[in-house]
Amino acid sequence: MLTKEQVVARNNVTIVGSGEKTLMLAHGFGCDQQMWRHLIPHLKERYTLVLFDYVGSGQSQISAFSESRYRALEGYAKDVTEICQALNLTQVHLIGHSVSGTIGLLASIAHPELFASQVMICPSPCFLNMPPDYYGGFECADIEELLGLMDRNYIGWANYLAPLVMGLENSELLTSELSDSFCSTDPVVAKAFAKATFFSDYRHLLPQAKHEALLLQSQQDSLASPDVGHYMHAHMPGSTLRLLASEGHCLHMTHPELVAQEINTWLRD
Amino acid sequence: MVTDNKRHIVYSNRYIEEYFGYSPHELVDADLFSLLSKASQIIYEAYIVPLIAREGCCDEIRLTLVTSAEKLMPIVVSARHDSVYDRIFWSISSVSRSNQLFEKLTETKSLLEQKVSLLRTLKDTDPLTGLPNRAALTKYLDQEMLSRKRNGMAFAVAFVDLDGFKEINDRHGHHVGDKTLQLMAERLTGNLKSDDMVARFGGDEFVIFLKDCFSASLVEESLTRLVSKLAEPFKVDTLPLNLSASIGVTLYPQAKDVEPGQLIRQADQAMYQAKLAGKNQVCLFNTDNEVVQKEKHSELLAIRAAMEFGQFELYYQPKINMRTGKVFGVEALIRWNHPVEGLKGPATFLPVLSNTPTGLALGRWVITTALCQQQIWLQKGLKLQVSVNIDGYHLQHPQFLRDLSAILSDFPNLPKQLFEIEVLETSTIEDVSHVSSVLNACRLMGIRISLDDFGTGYSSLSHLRDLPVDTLKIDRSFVKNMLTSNNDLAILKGVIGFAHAFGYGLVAEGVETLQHSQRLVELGCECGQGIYIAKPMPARAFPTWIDEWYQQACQEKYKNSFV
Repeated sequence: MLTKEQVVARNNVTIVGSGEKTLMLAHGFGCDQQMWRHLIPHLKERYTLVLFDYVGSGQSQISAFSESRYRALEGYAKDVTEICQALNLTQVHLIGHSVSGTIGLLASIAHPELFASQVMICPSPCFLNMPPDYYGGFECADIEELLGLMDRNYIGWANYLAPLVMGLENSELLTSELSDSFCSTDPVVAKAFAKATFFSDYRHLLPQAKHEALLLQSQQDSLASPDVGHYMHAHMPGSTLRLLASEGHCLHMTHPELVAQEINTWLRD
Repeated sequence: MVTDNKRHIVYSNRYIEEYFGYSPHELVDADLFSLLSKASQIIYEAYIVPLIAREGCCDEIRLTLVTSAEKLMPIVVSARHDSVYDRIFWSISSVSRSNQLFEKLTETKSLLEQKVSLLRTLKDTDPLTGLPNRAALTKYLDQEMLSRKRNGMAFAVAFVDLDGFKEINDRHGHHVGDKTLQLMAERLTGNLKSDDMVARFGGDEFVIFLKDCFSASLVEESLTRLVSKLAEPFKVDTLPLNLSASIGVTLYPQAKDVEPGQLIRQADQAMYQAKLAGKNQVCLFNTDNEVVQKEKHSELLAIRAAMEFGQFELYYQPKINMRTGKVFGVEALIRWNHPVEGLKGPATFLPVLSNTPTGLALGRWVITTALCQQQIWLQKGLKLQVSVNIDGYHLQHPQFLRDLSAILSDFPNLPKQLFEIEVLETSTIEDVSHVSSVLNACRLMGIRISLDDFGTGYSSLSHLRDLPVDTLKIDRSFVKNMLTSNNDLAILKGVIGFAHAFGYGLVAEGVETLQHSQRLVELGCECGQGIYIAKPMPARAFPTWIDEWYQQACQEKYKNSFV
């Protein structure tokens, strides 16, 4: 097993706030723990908040990335459980945004002893359309286009070229420096996360849920529509669905008070 | 374009209409997502929203816009958030510049990749032969020894040195030398397995790494094949040339742990052994050899020290005319007065000296000392022929004649014809014509030449024809058995016949009894030496001996048979 120090360094784990209850905040595809910054002020007085970056995101150790492990969401779920184990956390309330709802579900089914409940913000168990029963919102072609756009969008072009110029020995140092700039991760790594997120279908997991879950869904969200929310609620035992009067997929950034209020209510009961 | 906090478009300008076909009033209140492809919507949620929430802006993000004609059009957007009115201001531009940049970057990346791999190749490659260089070899060897520890496979390291390359370089120039090296590199790689590695170590030296070596004999066999391939004649620009190679090889693993550098040194040492053994061959290193080398080294050091401390001495054995009793000369024989082991004969220390600078130095000391003694005796009225033994390697050394004349010039009053060189080990003489010219030069100075141990070497007869000599010394082995073995007697008669036919003088070695002497005289060999006459003795004992010899011993021993 990895030591606490190793895991903390690998996943850039930070702990803020204090409180009996432990909330672990898991970011979604495309960003890192910075995306929780608007929500943290509303929660840190009451709870202990555990923040982290998945390997390959934010300021995690990119050297820990392995294509085989992070090809599927199970690899990301291992990050979650390994952090809990290394930090000796139990009764964790897992707050996961978007794909981290599914990652949390994988983690809590694999290691139910670590978790108390789940809060899923704009979750989706499958982003692809699977007619006639299920419409995740996207066709495979859309995701292929996404991967193409990601290639062309890399702010971190220097990331792309520098390892070649500087030689492999220095690339780790360099990459970690460049990762300071928001959202500029290695394109290979980011695309692995994109593929694991958008090509997968974990609907079969929903009935296996072992913990109560709060599903926070936006009334208008093209990545995770209310229909997806209804589908999940119908298939997940012990789930509560809350459709919020909001737009967009990043509720915790655009409507932090609303999300905090829902979490407080959920944890009070 | 301007949108509100719910992504609704509140304003768009005429350029939007011009480029994408949406009129400003058509777009009012529309969802921005209605203009974006699905993939762009993900980029928006995953990147643009977090960026705007954190930075208040984002720059040059590539998206796909759906035009009013439902065409997909690549665009680049930048956005600024106005927090007072909670509005986002968008700038939307054509993608062509960003596309160009993307293409350039892709090109640059592949170019860089090429250059980097070229640089890596150059760093590890010998430019002349295209083979891996010494640095690459060292790296490779390190890795292989590491992986050997895991997979347990055996391997061999061979050191190849071309014989006679320097001559080609000197005689025909570097241009021909370079082409020769390229050709030899091709022969090396062409005659080995594809997973064996050949590296140019430097100059005309190559190192071969042979994988999967199951036995020493297999390795030797394949390298011997290689040696014969390398020795095939070749041409450089119509110039016919040939050279050969000496190869030393060592095997891994070994009983003791070895470093990669040590393996190369072992192979190098074995290569040197292959050179000493006559070149154009393979020599296998074994750890025993290493011990032998070390012992040899310490023996040589001891001999050097013995020379400095004056522990060597010349003994002299008289040669007489067995018909007349006259003492006409002495043969100088080296002895070592070893402080611990006592008096040592030459057989105990000469072999290690073969082909060494110390051996050459001791040879010069013998000549000088013998001449010195001869002068002393001459001053006392003893006119004696003095002979010294010279090894084949000493005779063939390029400095031999120069050294000899330098020594002789210190003894200007000595009659040169009283000095004789006995040529040893004639069978190991490689370059007979060179030795022949050296001996001729000696004879021109007046020095006499004799062939020692005559009859024992295979090439003795051809030497008789090719080498200029004055005297044959009949080997003791024939003399010893002449009274009992008809075969040895026959050879003896033959040798005596040869000597008379060629007009050479004769001296029989190993005269042990009166019967030997008498029989030799009968057969026509009048001169002899041996323990019946006298054992080798120190110089100081010689005057007493010769006095006694003439006064009574010779009469007693030869029963007044002398004429």
